[in-house]
Formats: sequence, C-alpha cells, structure tokens
Amino acid sequence: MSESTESQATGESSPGEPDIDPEEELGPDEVPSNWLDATISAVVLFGAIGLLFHTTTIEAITLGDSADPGPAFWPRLVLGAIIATALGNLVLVLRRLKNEEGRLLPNKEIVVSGFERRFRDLSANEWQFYLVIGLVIVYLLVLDPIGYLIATPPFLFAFGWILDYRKPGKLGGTSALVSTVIFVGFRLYMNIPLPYGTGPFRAFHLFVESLF
Amino acid sequence: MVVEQLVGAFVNILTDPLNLLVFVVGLTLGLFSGAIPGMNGTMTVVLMIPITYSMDPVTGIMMLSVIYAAAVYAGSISAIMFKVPGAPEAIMTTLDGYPMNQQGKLRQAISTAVFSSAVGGIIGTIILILFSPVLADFAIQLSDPEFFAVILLGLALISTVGSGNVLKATMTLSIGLFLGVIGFDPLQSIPRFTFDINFLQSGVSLIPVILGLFAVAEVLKQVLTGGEMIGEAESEDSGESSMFPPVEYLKRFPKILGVNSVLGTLIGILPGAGATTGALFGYTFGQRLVPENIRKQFGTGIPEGIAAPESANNAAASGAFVPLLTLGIPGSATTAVILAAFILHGIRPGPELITTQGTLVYTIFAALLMANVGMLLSNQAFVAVFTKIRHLPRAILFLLIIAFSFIGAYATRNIMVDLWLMLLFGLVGYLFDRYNYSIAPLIIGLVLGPLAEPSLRRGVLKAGGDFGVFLQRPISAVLIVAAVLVFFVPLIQDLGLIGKVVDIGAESDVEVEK
Repeated sequence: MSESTESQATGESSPGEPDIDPEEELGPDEVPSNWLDATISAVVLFGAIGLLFHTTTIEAITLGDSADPGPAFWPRLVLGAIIATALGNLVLVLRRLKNEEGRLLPNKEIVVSGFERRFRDLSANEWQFYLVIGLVIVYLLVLDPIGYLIATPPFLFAFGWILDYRKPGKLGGTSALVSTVIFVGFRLYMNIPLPYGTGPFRAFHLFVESLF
Repeated sequence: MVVEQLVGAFVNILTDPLNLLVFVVGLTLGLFSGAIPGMNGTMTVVLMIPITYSMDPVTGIMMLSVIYAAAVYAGSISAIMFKVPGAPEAIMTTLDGYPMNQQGKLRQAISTAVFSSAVGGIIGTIILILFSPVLADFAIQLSDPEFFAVILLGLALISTVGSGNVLKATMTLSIGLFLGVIGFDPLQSIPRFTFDINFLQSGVSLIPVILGLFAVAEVLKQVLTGGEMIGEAESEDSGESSMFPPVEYLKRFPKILGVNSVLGTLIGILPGAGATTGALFGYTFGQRLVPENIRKQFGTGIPEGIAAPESANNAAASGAFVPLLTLGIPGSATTAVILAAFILHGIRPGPELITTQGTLVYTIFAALLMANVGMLLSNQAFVAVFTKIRHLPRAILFLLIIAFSFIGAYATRNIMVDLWLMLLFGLVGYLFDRYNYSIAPLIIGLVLGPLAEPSLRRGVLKAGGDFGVFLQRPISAVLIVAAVLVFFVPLIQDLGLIGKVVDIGAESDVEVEK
C-alpha cells in the first residue's frame, strides 16, 4: 500500500477515535469491504421496508367469501424474509466492524480519500472497466432510435478498441461480420424483430432486409 | 411387447433414410440452439413446427423431441467455456463448469457434462418407457399442496448452496423470489410493484437476468482484472472433448448420476417444472449426496458440480414427456410447444395414446434414447467448433460474448428494457461476486418463486382458507417436514451456536478478500 502525505494533511482523527491514517486503512476496494458489505445490506433492508409499505396499495379482488390469501400475501412473506436476512447480515457485519475496526461508522476522511483516490489514480484496467460500462450505456441509448445495423458495428469496434485490440482492419471486419450474421440469423431466419430505428434509419434497415 | 415395439422403432429410424436424416438434422439443430445464447430448445421447436407440416407426424414429432433433448445438454457448452448459459437449463452447470475451465480442465468438464447428460437422459427415458402409466397416475394425484411442498423443498436446499454464508444466500434467494412477483399476480392478474410502468407488467424475464449475472458480470470482472477466460493450464489441455470423463471422475459420482437421474425424472413429470427446475434441484440435491469435504468444494470447479445438474436436467427433459404423452398435460414450456405440434397433426395425447399411436410413442422413446447416445458420439466434433472461438484474441472473444448476450437478452421479448435489465444485473452480479453474495440462490428464487406462489394460493383457496391443508395431506406433509429439516439441520450442524455465526461470517469474508 502506498504511503501518502495527503492523509497527513487531512487525516486528523476526531477526539476519542483511534489515530488512523485513511490511506493506510484502505484495502484493495479503496473503501473497506466491511463497510461496503454493510451498505449493500442496508440498501436491501431499506428498499425491502419501502416495498413492504407499498404492498398496502395492492388491491385484491374479493369474490364472495373467497379464501385466496390475496396478491399481497406472497410478496409480504418474501419481503419479510428479505428484511430479516438483510437485518441479520447487517448486525453481523456491524458486530464484525466493532470488533475489528473499533467503531461502527467509517471515518469520513477514509471514505472521501478512498473515493478521491479511486477516481484520481485509475489503473488502465479500471479505465477500461468504466469505459466499457459507459459505452454499453451509450449503445443502449442509441440502439432504438438508430437501429441495430447502424449502432452495433461501431459499438463492437469501440468495445474491442477499448480492450486494446489495435488492428482496425480485423476489428472492423469482425464487428461488421458479427453484426451481419446476427441480423441475418435472428431477423431473417428466426423472425425476431430487431430494432430498426426511425425515419431514414428504418428505411435503411428495410432496404438491407430486402437484399436478403 | 415393449421391447418389440422399441426395436421396431429403432429400425424405423435407422433404416428409413428420411427418418435418419431428420434425426441428424434435429440433433444438430438442438445442439446449436442450446449452445448459442439467445436461441433455446423451445424457440427452435417453435420455428420447426411449420416444417413438420409437410412430414409424417411420426417423423415430425420425433424431430421436435430430439431437438429438445439435445438443446438441454448443449446449453452447458457455452456455460462451461464462456460462463454464458446457452439455455436456462445450464445455469447451475456454470457454477462449477466455468471454474473447471479456468483451472485448465475444459476437456474433463465437457466430457463430464455430456456423459452425465446422456446418462440422465437415458435413465429418464427408460423410466418413461417402463413406468409412464404408473407415473401418470401418481402425477394426477398430486395437487397444489404437494406441488408447493416440492418447490419449498427446492428452496430449502439453499442452505446447502449457501453453506458458509447461509444468511447472505437466503437474502439473495429472497431477492430472487421478489423479482419473481413483479408483474401481474398469477391468480387475479392484479399488477404488483409495476409503479404504472408498462414494461414491468410482464415481469422480470429470466434470460436477461442470467445473462447479466453470469456473462456480463464475468466480462466486466475480466476487464477490470485484466484476466482471461481460458485457464492457465490450457497449454496442457488441447481443449478437445471426449465421450467419457476420466476414470477417476467416474468413480466419484455414480451415486449422483443414479439418484439425480431418478430425481430429475420425477421433477420433470410435475407440470410446469421442466429441465431448469430439474437442474436447480439436481445441483442442490447433489450436494447432499457427497461427503462433506466434497460438498464444501461445490462452486469452486469440481466434476460433481457438473454431473449433478446435467444428469438431472436431461432426466427432467425425458420426465416432462410423461404427463405430455399420458395425460396431454405439458411438463415444461418445450413440451407445451410439442403438444401444439401433436394437435396440429390431429393427434390428441392422453391415456390411450400408447395403444392408439404405438408407432409414434415408441419412435419418440427410441429417438430420445438415440439422441442421448448421439450427443456422446457427436460431442467431440461439435465442441471443436466452440473451442476455435475460445482461442480468439481476448478482446474479440469478449466482443462476441457481449454481442450474443445482447441478442440473447433481446430475443426473448423483443423489448429494449431487457437489455437495460441485463446491464443492471451485470453490475449487480459483479458486486455480488466481489462481496461474497452467492448468485445461484437469486436464480433459484427467480425460477422457483413463480411456481411456488400459485400453488400455495390455490392450495389455500381450495381448502377454504385453511393453511393446515399442507400438513394434512401425507405427501405434502412429508415434503414440508423434509424441507424444514433440510434447511435447518445443516444450519445447526455448520453454525452451531449463534455466536459462531459471527466467526464463520468473518472467516468467509476474509477468504474472499484474500
């Protein structure tokens, strides 16, 4: 773990808390995993509680003296199980935190420093990771308006390029070939309606379809 | 009588060039449709129905049956090679198949999968041939309480899957169950948790979820770590497959093959359960059949983890023909489509079918047996195609996986939301993997939840609101007691005192961080 002078500038502990160097405490996850684990359980717990309240809005059709437990019965059972297990896990993690870290909540500076460092010192792989996610989001945003055949080859090309495949000819050929094979196989032979886009994009797709 | 008719059916397939050709085409189509994400046995059977119009009913329905049997196995190939379940039936195979591949044991993993599938399929078909009428009588006696109890037993087996961190496993199982309730409720068609959003009304589709949790999450993980999908010991492993697993493997799981083949067949005869449910039961039940030291290695890449679901899912595929042929009730989605083919050809399945359509029924039996043998024989050539894809450059391989995952997620319902869902679950899967939340229970919940709720509610409804009905009927009472024992006994055994939970939870997380 790298030593930092930044923590010395910002990392003074609150009275009563152990003297902790935020950068020293950070694991490979930048923010210690116990706290992230607790965060996941807490999000699930509060989400489930909110959804449990939402079940009061589910209205059942009552037919005579029907003995059906109703449409909210099973979801309540399930949400009850989620709440119980998320709470159980949260308690276990917090107990572990108390034993290992000496406190339940993370030092604010550790979290801030962790997130700062995460986005300041991104490795090449981390850059690729975030770029891939961003690329997929862009692809999904444009796929419906411009259609499969126009959106997919550039998406696949950019995907390969981000992953350091620097042979434009091969990459371009593969992207076009894969897109075409999927289009022909799924659209024309299996009759699965792929996104065709709107306006001129739709006209383009219909033209390509007519070629086959 | 049975043997004579069966021999006659074999002769009918093998000596008639058209039948033989149709059999080979069906086997090939089934293998490819199972192995390619986005295609599956059900879809291919649907697409082939119009082609069977021009065929003799015996030939046409034989082809559809062969496609189904082959597709159930073939999903395991992409599951093992790329962590992309080619079909939902292969979900559980991914859990040990892919880690075995990463350990450089691709050949062993594939041969274990095909051998177990063939054994499961053959045993299931033999049971189908010998006991169809008896099983049909048994199946007809099962009502909602029994069906719910079986599903509850499947859910209870989660304590085995999540051993080491049962609390987290139960949490992810419950999340899977919750995902299954989104959409219209099964009895009154009242929207639940749809928040006036149209696409939520049709619920959360299984395919985008599994492609996200497995394929997208794995690609993201490999991108972040700079890793490869191919094991380091690849140089020692040609990647070619063989018919049989290594002898030392065969000694390890005869019990799993035998028990899971019978179990899978019994799961298959339950209406609506199908091969995916068979695989879930097979994997979790398989863990109960092995010594504790092996049980704890499930999910790390052991052959037992492949043999268990593969034998059960192929047996379940055969079992699904029992209610189809004898009662006219489909046991799975694919057999529902095959039922449609029967009706389109003017044949109505039922108790008299074996008597009135003996040639057709025994040709299906023979074709199912031959399909399982055919999978063994053709596996080497078939896997070679996929092996070539595997050796493509890392970026191209990931590109192909992403492209086929996207089309796979889109193909089921043809809505863009499923693609967003796949991306979302890709990120969820990545986070779950990183923080030691098991993915398998979530899938089990999502598959079994929609089966459990209607049977629970119908059971209570028929009993006039009396929940005691589940304990008053002998079969369901036994199954529910078994479910309670199956869930709590391992917990007590593994965890002991509550205080020990803390230590075990801490240890398991420390291991993950390492």
